[in-house]
Amino acid sequence: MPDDKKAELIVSRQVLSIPQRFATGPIMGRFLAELLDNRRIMAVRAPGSRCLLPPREVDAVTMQEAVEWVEVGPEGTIRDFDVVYYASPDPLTGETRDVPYIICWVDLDGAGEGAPLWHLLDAPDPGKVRCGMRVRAVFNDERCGCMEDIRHFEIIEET
Amino acid sequence: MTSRVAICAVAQTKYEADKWDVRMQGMVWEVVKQVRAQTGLDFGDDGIEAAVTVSDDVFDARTISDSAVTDVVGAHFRGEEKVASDGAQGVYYAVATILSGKHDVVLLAGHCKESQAASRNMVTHLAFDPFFTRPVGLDYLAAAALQADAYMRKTGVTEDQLADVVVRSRQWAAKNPVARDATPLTRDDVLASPMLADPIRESFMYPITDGAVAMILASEERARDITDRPVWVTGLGNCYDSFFLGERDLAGNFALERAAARAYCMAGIKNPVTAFDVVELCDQCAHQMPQWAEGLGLCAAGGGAVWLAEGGPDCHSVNRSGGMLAGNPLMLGGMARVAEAVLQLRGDAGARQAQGAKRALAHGCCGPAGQLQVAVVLEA
Repeated sequence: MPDDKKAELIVSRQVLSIPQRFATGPIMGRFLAELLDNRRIMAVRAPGSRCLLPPREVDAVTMQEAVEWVEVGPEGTIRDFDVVYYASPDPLTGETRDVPYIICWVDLDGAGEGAPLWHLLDAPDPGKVRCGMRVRAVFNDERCGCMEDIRHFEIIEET
Repeated sequence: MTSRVAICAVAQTKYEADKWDVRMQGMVWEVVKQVRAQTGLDFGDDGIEAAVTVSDDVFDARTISDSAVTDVVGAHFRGEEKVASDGAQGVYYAVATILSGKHDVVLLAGHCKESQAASRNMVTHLAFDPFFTRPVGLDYLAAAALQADAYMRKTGVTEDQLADVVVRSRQWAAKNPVARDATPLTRDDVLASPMLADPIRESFMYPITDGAVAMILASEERARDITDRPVWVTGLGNCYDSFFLGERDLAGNFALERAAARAYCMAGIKNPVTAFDVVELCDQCAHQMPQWAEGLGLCAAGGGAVWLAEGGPDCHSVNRSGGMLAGNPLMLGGMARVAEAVLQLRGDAGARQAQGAKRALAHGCCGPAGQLQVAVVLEA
């Protein structure tokens, strides 16, 4: 099809939206309640197994129920990170994060390896962020029982 | 390679209006635990080798909704296939996986939380194409209403007869411990319920429901190790009708007749009227009880009104579980029918047991007004 004909074709624009609400259950529910009420990050594990973060009902490796609670963090070590330079709106709110922003995986103290928490990292100079840096969770004063109750992680300055 | 496949274990959550205290993963884990306990099977080469899951992306608010449940179905390090359709089609997948020789023991797990959406109709609205049919307001309820209207005009099935189908569903549901809605209703109660989409009243439509179902299927050789009461899947058939409602005879059973014929051919069944001790059919809406009975060959095509008038549902032991009308979520209507058929054939159906049942027919459907039809023949 020639370009001038293509330009005449109608493009249909639509937005999908269905209000939904989700059960959190006893595991995710307690994790969120700990953030809300106690500014605490809690992981779960099956007896004798690795920690699970985010916490969930079953350890998929051993197929055992994760019934033990373990307090982890709020400090930890950056496992990996990514600096994001493009803006992508949240489909639910339409809000866009300021760029650049940094997504990091943090091995929280007490969680062992293999269960990093994913969150945002606030660093004044993204170019100076390195794997292995020590970080700490910063909680919002106003919390609602959601992952955003942790505002972000911040780098612990060496003294 | 095995010559036939058995269902070795089944488990269902209680069906409820709103399981607000448990995640969908929690529902699935509950039934997976039960089928593992029933069989003693673990995951791995000597146990459950692969999984088939059943779920819906829009209800689960993510694409590739099976990714939410891989943890609880043992899919790490193993294979998993998702069926985005009725769970009876999941039975078909699991049986095909085993008959192919690829695996001997397969876990089938389905879930749906209709309560998660502010409106079930908003979800099924999205099943329609965004350009031609969604703009005119179609959803599964509106599609079922078009079908009900066409079917009632063609066959003469009356509103009173449909009300009696609902009353009967509640009577049987009272004997089913996992049934969602066993509140007794009279014909007058049903006829007083609000008109949603003419001729469908609220009570004619299955209620908003949450739940999960799991099964373990195995090759003949493994089935005999796993259980002393295997239920054999001896016939399977499925068929799609056109996606566009206007291209279909909504009062007829084009797809179901073909699905049933394929299942009966595989099972060697000549006369479905007398072939089954128990029938479970997927009645999302009251008029589908007689309509699907026609399509499955339990009565003559167009004979649904006479079949109801002559007590056909009781003669053929149809939906002793209460049926989908008593409350199963979308995706699990047919899967719950298969589960009930298994319970009946194993003699585990309690107060609703059809004594000495040896052969059962289970039916599932999915899509607007039953676009996809699945028939499953099961034998003790």
